[in-house]
Amino acid sequence: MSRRQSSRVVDVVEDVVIELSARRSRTVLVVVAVALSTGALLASLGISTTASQQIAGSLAASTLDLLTVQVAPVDGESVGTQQGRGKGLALGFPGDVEARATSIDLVEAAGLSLSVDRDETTAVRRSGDPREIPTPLLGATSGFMEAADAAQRPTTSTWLLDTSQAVVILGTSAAAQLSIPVSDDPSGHQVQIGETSYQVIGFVDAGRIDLSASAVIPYQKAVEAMRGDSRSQLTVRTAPGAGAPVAGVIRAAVRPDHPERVTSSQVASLSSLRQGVDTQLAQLAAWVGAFLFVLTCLLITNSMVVSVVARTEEIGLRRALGASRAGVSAVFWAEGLVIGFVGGTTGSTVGAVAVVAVAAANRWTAHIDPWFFVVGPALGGFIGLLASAYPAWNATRISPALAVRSD
Amino acid sequence: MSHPRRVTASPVLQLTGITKTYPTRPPVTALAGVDLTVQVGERLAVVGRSGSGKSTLLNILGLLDECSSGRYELAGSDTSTMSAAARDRLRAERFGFVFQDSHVLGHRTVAENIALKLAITRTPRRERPARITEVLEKVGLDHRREALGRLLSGGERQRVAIARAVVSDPDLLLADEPTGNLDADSSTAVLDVFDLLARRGTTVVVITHDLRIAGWADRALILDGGRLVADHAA
Repeated sequence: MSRRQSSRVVDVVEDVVIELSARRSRTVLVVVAVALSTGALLASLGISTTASQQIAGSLAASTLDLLTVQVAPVDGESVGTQQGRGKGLALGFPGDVEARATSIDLVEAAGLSLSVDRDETTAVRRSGDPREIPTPLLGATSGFMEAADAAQRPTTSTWLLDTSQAVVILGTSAAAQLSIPVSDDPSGHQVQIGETSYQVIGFVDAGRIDLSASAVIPYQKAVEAMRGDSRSQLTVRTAPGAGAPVAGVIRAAVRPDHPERVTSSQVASLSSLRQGVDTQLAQLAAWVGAFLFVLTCLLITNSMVVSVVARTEEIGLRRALGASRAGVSAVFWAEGLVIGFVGGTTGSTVGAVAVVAVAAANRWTAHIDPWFFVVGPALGGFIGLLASAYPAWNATRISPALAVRSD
Repeated sequence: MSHPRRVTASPVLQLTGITKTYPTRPPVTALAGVDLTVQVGERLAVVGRSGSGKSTLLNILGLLDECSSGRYELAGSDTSTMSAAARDRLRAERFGFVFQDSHVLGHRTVAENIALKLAITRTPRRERPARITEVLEKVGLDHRREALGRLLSGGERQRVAIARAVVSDPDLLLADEPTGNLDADSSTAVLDVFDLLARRGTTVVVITHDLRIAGWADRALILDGGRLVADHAA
């Protein structure tokens, strides 16, 4: 920057300081208004972040009502009393595991399931149709369907999953792909899975566990296909919020002889739930922020338009003395920038205090991003500049001849 | 009054057939075919009744407004072909204005009011304090340097306006009723300043109702209905 340019910048800054300090009350009020608007904007973002963290945490506790239990396999061991016993199958889960699980207080349902797919999907085709549709294949008991809160139709045939008959419940989207109409009466429809023909006995939609794209066959058939239950898992649904205490005792209930081989983990898609909460609160904050942004712009614009009108004589005088249009508008741009920057800086502090106060009042943990203190001044300055556009343009349109005329 | 007057036979302002019509309903013609030549260093008084076109003429001379037709040459350059930025620059560098209502900004000090003109002419900042002091001494207001504009008397305000007009050493000083609100003593002080400038070669054009000023000037023009009806040399 040349000496001449820097001298011009100093002149503009000096003008702004003189003008703002001459109208001290107005300046303070506008800066306070910008600070409150920017502070409210930043506080809404900060509070929503804090709230989402807190809500997600609370949800984590309250939605811990779905567990999965697995048993680490040991070669040659078979504790099962299911139909698989005696067929040379390696079984880690006792045959009465579902009864054991449901006997625990606060457990509402429990059932076994086993994914048959080694490559994630299995080719399934409708009988008489050569098209093969890759479909996730799951073996499950009726207890699993209950634990998963599966939205099934009809519900009367679910018990067939506890047999070893060749029956299948199709997920609704899997049925659509196979061109099988979803109805309460699936009789007459058959699908081919491998060499075996399976009779369709019902349909299932997305529930707590999404089975809509799957084909569900009796658990026993899956165990036979997989030569054991080493990849099986027991899904346990508890009363809301009871997941943690149940997880503490389930291992001993499933394998009292070897509880150390039993692992349990939370199943609910909590991360997606958290993400959903985050997204929705972020959207809410964005909308609130957008309204406040517009409000702040209008506030500064209004104040500066009033200022331009009040300073018509002064602007006209500057033009008469030879100030260019750009020179006149520069004063208003600079004023907007200064007001916005000071307001934004104050606002980020106000916002941070609000976030901490709200968090303290609700006994939450406050989450304040360090960028908060950069975003505030930058946002304030940007709003100030944006809001100055119209008043600055307006100022350049003032006719010097009219402004200095004496009536 | 000890210095000799310098009126050079070299036209600084030359107006040919200048007409100004305001596009109102019905249109109002404020100036109708004004021809005028003003020499460097001349003291010119323009007199006339209200609505005779005096202020319009001053606005056109000072490049505050544009004529509807005719040709206006400033030191040989046709102003109608100039860009708005060039006209702004000329206004800043060559003209000094004294308005009837002084237009001294009340929230600025006397020095800040005068500095406004120096900032516009981009006078180096280090030179400004000395220039302000010099011009304030000239108008006898050096003791009021830090006073706010709103605290000045009418005469003081007018002298600040004159100081602001002359601080950048303009070639042309245009004054609209500069003594309109002043008592006799203050009016004399203002004319003394104008004399001082004219002696240094500044062309002074004064619009006035005051016949005393008309007598003071080298030439007095009479405007009536937008036309120059008389041109008296002193």
